[in-house]
Amino acid sequence: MARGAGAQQRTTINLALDSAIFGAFLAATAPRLTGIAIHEWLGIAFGVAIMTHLLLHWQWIIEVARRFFGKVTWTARVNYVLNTLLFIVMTIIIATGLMISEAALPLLGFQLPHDHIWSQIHRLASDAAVLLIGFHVALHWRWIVNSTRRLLRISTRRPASITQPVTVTSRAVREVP
Amino acid sequence: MKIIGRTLIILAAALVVAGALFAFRQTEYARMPGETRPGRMRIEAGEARPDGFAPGGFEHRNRAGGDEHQASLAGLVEVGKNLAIIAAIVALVVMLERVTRGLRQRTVARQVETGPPS
Repeated sequence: MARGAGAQQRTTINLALDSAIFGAFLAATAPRLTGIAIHEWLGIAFGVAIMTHLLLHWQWIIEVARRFFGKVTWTARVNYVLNTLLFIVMTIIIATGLMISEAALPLLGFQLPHDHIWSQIHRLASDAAVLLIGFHVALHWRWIVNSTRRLLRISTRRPASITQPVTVTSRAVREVP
Repeated sequence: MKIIGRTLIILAAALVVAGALFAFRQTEYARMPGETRPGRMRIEAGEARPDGFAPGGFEHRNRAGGDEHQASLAGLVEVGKNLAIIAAIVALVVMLERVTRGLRQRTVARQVETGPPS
């Protein structure tokens, strides 16, 4: 039972972090909405969020990498290739973003000469990232829907959770078959 | 300790990608002006300047026009556009997945009906 609660908690953390990353990605791809300064800082923070995302899914990365040419489902294989591409594209976006930075890096005392090719690569990579994120979300769509449903069902099963202590509520939830 | 090691591995992988990117920047292909480059790595449409650079700059212009320095609600259009692209891809992939799953189930059901091959 404790294991189930742990898995539930992990799913909640993953879902929350992934939703935050997705929201940040959408905001970061619209510099006109945020302004250039927020766009740049958001991009840097995005790098940290991706790293956390990778650390949370480390076991999966290692397992699929080990069995990539062996016994592994085609979905996992496609997913792995897609995620590798996504990592490469995200790294390119962040690296080129730093090279053309006008607010974040100058604030830290770095002033780089403007190079138009970095801007071009930055844009090309961000366009590619939108497509790759689309496929990434699509391949995880069932997990997203199922996790969200499970999460919402749990929250609707405990209407008295505001007045009850947290431990009692969580135990009651665990007792539900 | 484990997390530090894993973080360093991720950073090293990112460094490899960044290194390849900087190596690409040093190549003759990347040094070539836009119009002379085979296949043109130009993203922006419009007339090119004589020095070979695409018109405007990332910091001054975007595809929809306007200034990127200032935050504006007009940027919501960009968010909506990207969200629509992602939603279209998700819808397409999920639909394809359902169709293929249905076809596979039908094939299995047919095999069960006809019995194992003798």
